Amino acid sequence: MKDFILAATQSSPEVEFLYAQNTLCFRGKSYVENTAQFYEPVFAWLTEYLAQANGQTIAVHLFIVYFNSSSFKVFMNLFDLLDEAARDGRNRVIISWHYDADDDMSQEYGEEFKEDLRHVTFNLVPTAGPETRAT
Amino acid sequence: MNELLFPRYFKQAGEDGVIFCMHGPMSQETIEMLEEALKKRVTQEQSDSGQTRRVFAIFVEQVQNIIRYSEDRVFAPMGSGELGAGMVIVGHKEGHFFVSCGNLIKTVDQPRLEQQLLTIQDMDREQLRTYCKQRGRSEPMAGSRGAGLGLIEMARQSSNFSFCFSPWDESLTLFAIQVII
Repeated sequence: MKDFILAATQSSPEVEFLYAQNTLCFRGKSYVENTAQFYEPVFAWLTEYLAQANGQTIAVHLFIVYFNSSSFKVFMNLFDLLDEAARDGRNRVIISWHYDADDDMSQEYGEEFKEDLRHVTFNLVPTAGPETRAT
Repeated sequence: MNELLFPRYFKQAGEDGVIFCMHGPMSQETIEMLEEALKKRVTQEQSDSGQTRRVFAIFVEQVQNIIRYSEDRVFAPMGSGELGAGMVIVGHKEGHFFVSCGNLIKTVDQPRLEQQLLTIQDMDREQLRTYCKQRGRSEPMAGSRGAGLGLIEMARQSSNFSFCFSPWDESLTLFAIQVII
């Protein structure tokens, strides 16, 4: 499979899915006009990727500094999809929700996402500030 | 147009604590253009980053609701996305920020919207949290064009909100909501 890469815009996150590394990363803001349309190719790639992944440890990183209510639904669906993929134990999925340490809402949302998931490891990772980057 | 509008508007805006007010057609581009300006102004007023995030979050939900649901549609040139007309006001009064918006809706849609708002208004934080998830996992409600979560989200990020419906003409009603942060 090819990697899936989208550059960030002011209202959409950078998306970086690296096939060989088994890492999926979202970074930035998510409040586009048509959320379902924006995430459709993202989910298409992911579905195809999960169908063929075998014996992998899949690392999913989200550095989302702001998201609107329709993106909340998208993230819930994303995590449900990943949880389902980890269910049969074929692959291990580790999701990291990175949030600005003084953003209590983002922390609360992270906790909310986490409480419904059974088969993935979901880490809440506070970062020092909104500009913190993954290394 | 002989009367100079400025003195009247200036006085009123001062009394109401208005930081920012926009009336007319709005698009996604409007939100993106105003993001930095709005955040800067809110931070000047009060330097709590959580407050700034909440004000912006509610502003986005409100303007996206106007874009999606206003019955006052505006012809959009190719490629500029959807336009809906309404009005949005951001202000700071008595130590609280508020975001207030309004747009025309079909009068026949009022009962459904009113019921939904009353349901949300009655909920405590925990109930809102549960309801938000439940709605997030289900298909959008009839008449909803987003995820149908915008109003719940506004309630979650604010301390309270109020709303009103005023008759406009034989088929339209002006709907307004004011969210206090």
